[in-house]
Amino acid sequence: MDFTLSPENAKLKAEMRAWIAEALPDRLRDRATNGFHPAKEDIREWMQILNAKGWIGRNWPEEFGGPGWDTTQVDMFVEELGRAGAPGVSNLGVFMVAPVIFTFGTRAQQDKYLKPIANGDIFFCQGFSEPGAGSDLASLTTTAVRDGDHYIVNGVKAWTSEGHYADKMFTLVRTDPDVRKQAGISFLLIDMKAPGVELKPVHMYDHQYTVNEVHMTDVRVPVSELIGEENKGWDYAKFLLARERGMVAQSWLIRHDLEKVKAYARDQRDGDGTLWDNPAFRKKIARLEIRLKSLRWQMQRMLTEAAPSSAASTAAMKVQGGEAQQEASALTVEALGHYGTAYFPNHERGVEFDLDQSPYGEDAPAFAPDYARGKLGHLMFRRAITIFGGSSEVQHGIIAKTLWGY
Amino acid sequence: MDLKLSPAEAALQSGLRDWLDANYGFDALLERTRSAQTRDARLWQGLVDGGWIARALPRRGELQQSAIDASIVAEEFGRALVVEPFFRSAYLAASLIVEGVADAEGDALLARIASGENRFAAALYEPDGRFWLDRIETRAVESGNGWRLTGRKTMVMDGADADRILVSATTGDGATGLFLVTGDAAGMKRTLFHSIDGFAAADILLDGVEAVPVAIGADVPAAIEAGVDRTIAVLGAEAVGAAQAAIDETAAYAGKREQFGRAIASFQVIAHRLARMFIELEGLRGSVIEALSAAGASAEERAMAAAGIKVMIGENGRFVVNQGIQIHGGVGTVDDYKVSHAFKRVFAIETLFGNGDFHLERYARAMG
Repeated sequence: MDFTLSPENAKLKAEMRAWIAEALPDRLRDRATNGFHPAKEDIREWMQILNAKGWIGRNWPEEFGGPGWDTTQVDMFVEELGRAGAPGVSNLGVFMVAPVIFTFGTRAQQDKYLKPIANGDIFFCQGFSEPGAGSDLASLTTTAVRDGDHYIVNGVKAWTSEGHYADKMFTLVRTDPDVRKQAGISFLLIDMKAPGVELKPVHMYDHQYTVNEVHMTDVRVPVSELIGEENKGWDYAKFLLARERGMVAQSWLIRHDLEKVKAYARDQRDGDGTLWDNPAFRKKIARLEIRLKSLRWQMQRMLTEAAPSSAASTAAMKVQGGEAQQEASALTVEALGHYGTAYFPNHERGVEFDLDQSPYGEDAPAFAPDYARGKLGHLMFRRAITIFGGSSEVQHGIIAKTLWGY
Repeated sequence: MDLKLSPAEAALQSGLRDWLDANYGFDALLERTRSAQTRDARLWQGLVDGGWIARALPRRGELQQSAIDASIVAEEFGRALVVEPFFRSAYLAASLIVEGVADAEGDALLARIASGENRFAAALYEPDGRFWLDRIETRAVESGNGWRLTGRKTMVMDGADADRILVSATTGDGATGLFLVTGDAAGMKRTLFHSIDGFAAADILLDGVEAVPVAIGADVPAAIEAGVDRTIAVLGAEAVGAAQAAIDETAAYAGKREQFGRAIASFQVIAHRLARMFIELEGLRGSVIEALSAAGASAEERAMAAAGIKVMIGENGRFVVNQGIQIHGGVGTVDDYKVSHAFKRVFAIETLFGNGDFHLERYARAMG
């Protein structure tokens, strides 16, 4: 076992930290931590800053515009982003569909999509789940029927996050209904502006507009938008979902949340002292910090191929990472005291959408601290972390099957 | 950064595992634990001859590598549920020496531990002190040209048979010291008992016992704490090994035990519980790696890492072995089933040197 950072990596890490400090505008940093789902303009602004430096596709191969980092270096960058409180990017594009495109796509598809994804010029959303296909994703019923050099697509996709930001949807469709359910699925890129595509906002319980249903009626999709081979889409989906699991466990980003909670606790009066002096609360923070430190090493163990079963360890990290994010939000909201239960409106505009779906007024509580905004909403959103990307129950199933064949 | 075992580390692990499989399998363990010996001379000599004891001891100048080596040995000991006293006694004493005893004198003591010339233990806890290392009522008085100790020490692992015991005591001017007492010293009464996981321990009554100071001063309390933290780190690896054994046993048992006409592993509630045991153990493993990463770092960082391990043993480790028994059903509580031994090992390791709650509070205080 070797814990040392090579001189080369130590230098690179310092360079990363200095660059982020310089390049990340305070305005974006503050917005990233306010708890609300970020507006599209904010996401794009940070993506373009990263892209100009060549660091957006941090795990992309060099030939597609990545920085050429190994897994340790990628993790260092994630650590530095977390430390700085940097906002996210369009994960759906940069870290989910782009790897599918550069691994399985044609040269023409790579040329068409990778650069615009990196620059925030094309936003993607994910068309996997359906009203009747959640954890049993392979039972999906959206069909694509070949008609000359097009597919005709019909069906409904559910839980489409950022569908209202998206130009394109990477979509699992059924191209062969007569074979085993996993064997008849293909991976298509569908234009959100194509005739027959209808976006229906879902009114979520936190009153934030993040999720949609996408209804497709006789949508014509050029065959050139098929990724890889027809009926091999399930393989590409598994490839993509494995990456999604890893992202949930990025402990550095959760560590940043935890540092914020500590700051709030020091600010919140509690009896004769502050909430930070409250042993019960502080022990909850300690417990989460211990778990996040563990998660960091679990990730390193997997990245350096020291875990006997990468599939089982990734599933275990997905479960723990999701629970840790939920706990971080729970502690954040608990720190707010009474204001933890208050609704804070968010009438910030997305591109052409009001992101607030609430029936309530425009005002936030008059005496609440600025940092209270959006935190409860974030807690509510994060209940979905142990559901999306394969629910915790699915992860348990993966572990039992992988390790013991149960 | 590379968390894979190096070739030398992998050889250490496989060599020890092969020897334990051949000499310390579960049948041998049952026979061994039913003998109530404090140490099995033949098995101990085998471990010494294999070089594993020397390899596990802390080495000044390469503290991180020796911690890694120790954790490999400890994990294998945990997997086989070895009951020969070492980590809680000799290794603890060596860690205290590394942290608290000046170079030349310390090196001489470390050499005596490594050669097996003496059997070392450390007496740090007292009946009224619970897990607090700094609650020391044992008094050290200078008389003539030597020191004499009076007081009570509890839960001294391997304390009944050790011939060299490091004892913490308070001097007349309130300083803390570590003193060396020989096993045959007059005025010492040792009561032998066993921890539930099969290790010999002793309560020790000291009544004017002759002792040689090896460290006295304001920095001794911190050195004691740091030595215990190094020991906690390797006990974490031992707990990982024992919890892994519990999972291995339970998964195998669930695959062959039939109820309602089929193997119980085919019930999702059992399969998912096994998966959760794996998840919890992964969490504990991560905390042990955190401690290894800090083995060469400041005492503050090592303290937080050790406290983290204890919290994780208390929650994650206990979950694994509790569920190991639960899935076995009634036979999980029978001495003939290995899972019951794994349960006792993790249970004891959580409590020794301060339980999970104690260390959670400690960690929370250290966050400042």
